[in-house]
Parts: sequence; C-alpha cells; structure tokens
Amino acid sequence: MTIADAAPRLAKGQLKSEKLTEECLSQIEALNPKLNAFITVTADEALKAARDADKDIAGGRYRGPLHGIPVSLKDLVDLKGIRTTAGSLVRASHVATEDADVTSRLRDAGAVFVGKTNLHEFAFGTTTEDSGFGKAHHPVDQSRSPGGSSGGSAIAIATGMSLGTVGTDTGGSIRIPAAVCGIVGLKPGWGEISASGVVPLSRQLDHVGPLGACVTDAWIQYNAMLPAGRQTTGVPAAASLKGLRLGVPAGYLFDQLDADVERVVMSTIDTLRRSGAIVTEVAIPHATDMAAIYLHLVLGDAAEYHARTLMSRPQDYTPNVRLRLEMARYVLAEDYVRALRGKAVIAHEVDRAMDGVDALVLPSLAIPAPPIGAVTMPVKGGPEAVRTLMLRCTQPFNLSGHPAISIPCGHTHGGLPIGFQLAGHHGQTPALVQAALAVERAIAHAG
Amino acid sequence: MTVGEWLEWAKADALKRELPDLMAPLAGLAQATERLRSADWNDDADHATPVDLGHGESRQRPGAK
Repeated sequence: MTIADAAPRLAKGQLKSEKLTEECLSQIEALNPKLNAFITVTADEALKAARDADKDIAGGRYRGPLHGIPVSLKDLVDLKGIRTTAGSLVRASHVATEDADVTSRLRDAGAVFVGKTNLHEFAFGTTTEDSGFGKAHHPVDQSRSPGGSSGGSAIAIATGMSLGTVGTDTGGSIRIPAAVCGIVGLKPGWGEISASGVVPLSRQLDHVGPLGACVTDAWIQYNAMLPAGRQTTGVPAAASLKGLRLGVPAGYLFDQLDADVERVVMSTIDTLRRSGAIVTEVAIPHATDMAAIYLHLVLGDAAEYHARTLMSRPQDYTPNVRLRLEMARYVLAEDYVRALRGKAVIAHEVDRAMDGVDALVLPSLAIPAPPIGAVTMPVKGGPEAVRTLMLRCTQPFNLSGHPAISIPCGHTHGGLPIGFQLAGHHGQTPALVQAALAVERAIAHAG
Repeated sequence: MTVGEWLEWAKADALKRELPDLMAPLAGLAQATERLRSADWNDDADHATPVDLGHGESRQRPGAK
C-alpha cells in the first residue's frame, strides 16, 4: 500500500492507523531477521502514536496526508528518546535527547515512527554491508546488496515495513538504494531540508530526503519535511511530456554501464521521446574529474568529524569503514582546497548543462544490485570497482546541489530493478517532481 | 610536495601506525589526487571560480544578474 492510497482512507475513517501500523510491524517481525533492515523497532511507541492518530482523525483533527502513516528513519536521524547509532558500535549507546528538525516536522504532520533503519556505517559506503549491526540484504535476492547507504530504508519501503522513510544522500545514498530496490528516492536541493539532528558525513554534500513507493509518496514526505512556511497543500500535477525538454548528459555518465542498465535506460529515453519530450544531448565538460573532487571532499570532512573517536575507539568501527577513515586523515589541505574549487566548477557546468532544458535524464546508477562482497562488476569497457560504479551517476548532483530523483524504470533479465534519474534546476524541486510524475506515468504506460 | 612524495610519506606513516592494510587505499587516493591536480581548471587559479561552500554563487545561471 502507498501513502497516496492510505491517506484518503485514513482521512475518511475507512482505515485505522493502528491497523496499518500493526501490518508494518508484522512485516518487520517476519522479514527483518532475513533482511536486517531495522536496527531499532519502536513498536510500543508506534502503536500508541497510531491510536492517538486514530482518535485525532475521528475527532476532526486531521493533519494531512502523513497523519497516521507508519514511517521509518535512517538511523542517523535523531528520534527523541531512542538511540541514534549511525550503524556503528561507536554510537551504540547514544540516545537522542531531541528530535532532528526533519523528525519534528514529520511528527507535526502526524507520522507514526516504527523504527530506525540500518545503513552503511556512518553513511560511508554504498552497499549497507559494513554496519556495526550486520549487513542488510536485498529484498529480491538476499545474496545481493540493497544499495546504500540508506539500504535499510529502501528495504523498508520495498517490503511494506513502513510506508515512508527518511534517508540521507551525500554521494547518492537515497537514489542508489532506491534504484537498487525498485522504489523512488528524492534528493532535494542542497539545504532545502534541515540536516540539524542528523549525523553528518560531509555537511557540504549531505542532503536529507524521502524514499517512497511512488513519486507522489516522495512528494508528500518532502513537502512535510519543509519549513512550515514553505509547505504546500495537495500534490503537484504531472507535467505534460509533450514539449518537456530533457537533456541527456552523454559521455562519462553513460560510458560505463551494465548492459541491462543501458538497454532499459535508453529504452526509457526512447519512450519519453515518443511521448513528445524533446530530448537533446548536453555536456558536463569536467565530469571525468568528479570522482576525484568528491573523494577529497568527503574524506576531508569525514576525517574531521571522526578524528576523536578514531583515536579513542578505533576497534568499534567496522574494518572497511575504519580503513577509509584512516585513509581520510592523509588528505592534504592543498588538495582539499583544489577539490572545493572543482566542486564550484562542476556546479557551474551542471547549471550550464541545464540551460534550455527542464531536466537532465540519466541512469541512477551504472549497475543493478551487486552481489554482497563484490569488489568489481563487469560493465561496458571492462570491470570497474563497485563503489566507483555506484556513485558515478549520482555524485554530480551532490557536488552541484541540484535536486535529483530516482524512479524505477524496468528490470534486468534476472529481475533486478533499474533506476532512472532526473535532475532539476536549483530551487525548483516541485517542477522536478512534476516531470518525474509524468515520466513515472509514461513508464507505467509503456510497461 | 609531489603526489609521489606524499604517497611515500603516507605509506611510511601508516606502517609506523601498524596499518598495513592502508597501502592499497593510499595508492588509490594518490591516483585520485594526481587527477585532481592535473585538472585544467587549476591552471586558472588566479581567476578561479569562487570557492563556495553554500552553492550561493554557483546557483547563478549563466547570464543571470
């Protein structure tokens, strides 16, 4: 069930939040032992909140489409009174004394929090394999990764453990697991959603945003996460595909794709063209420098945040994440500053690529769900490191800060989901969502 | 410090800290640093795009006033 389906029924009293929450908790109980999507389940608190929501709705105090909806939080988002582990034993006993801003806004909107989801430790990875609380597993094929770092959140949506969820995205950590698990992930523009009360990886690249079963569900959550004065009522209408101007950033972002990903993404672009979209090629001239720029920034920022605990509790990090953080301490200041300049160059070039188009379209990631433990994956041009492949198509918009969304667009021959990404103009996330609604509809119609 | 000099120093320090597993990651980082330093936008540092943590300047679309 989607939020869009449940909300009107809850509003009319045809569905009770308590029943909906019980169903989610049952899914968690049944599937979490296999998939390890949740680190903490807040069943008692959720059921109480659900009963309160039912009373409020019955009493005429309906707050909107998230009222009574079971929602999970990536476990680096603070929920008052509950531990925030960030997927690490370093923070195993850290209990949040306040809600994060985003939690507080969702609480005001009537969301029912069912628990905290598993993640790649400190969001420092793309597979959710390295977590102090055990690796998470893909819901379709448990030998594969659900993506990351918001892997538990994506599993929760894909399996009905919660109807909504909050993730974070520093290099793709909302869009990657969304694509891998066949759901929608929205990375709003940088700074649109407060990151206060969220454990950072890199403040200048971190974005907070929703994952959901469909674009409408992502919108409903995104809207509730905004400051009160910027929220709107209702769901924006889908854009018309006829005349919608889409830019394809050919070259680097399409160079190293899995064969199934390339086939499905190119077929989706053809579908959009046949539906009336105007598709043109655009350029991001320094795209080949993005991985190096991103690496130096994220390493430098993570080194600063973790310096104290790396010294005092190195044994409490997972081995791979500890190694990456130790490596981070060797980044030189001069190279960090070069990367800052490179970030500004990329932001400018993405802006230029978007000049004259309504959105950029590209794969969400170059490969489908990788096998757990895989170091490389075969792609056009030869095998490449999994981490590099998973970040390749998403990190441009972390460097540039543009809003971007991943929606499902098909499957591999083996039945694994593939994601299609749209990136929009700065400050125009609603317009991006309108375009995504249209693309989602066209994909459904073509399928 | 050249990237080669940096890599030698970093590897020696990592070994001193009993982190032999860092050798391969440091070599990978060195490759990325070479790439970063050789990017052509470094050649124009006197007229560089402003370093802008907040995206403010970079939000300007070309031609915007």
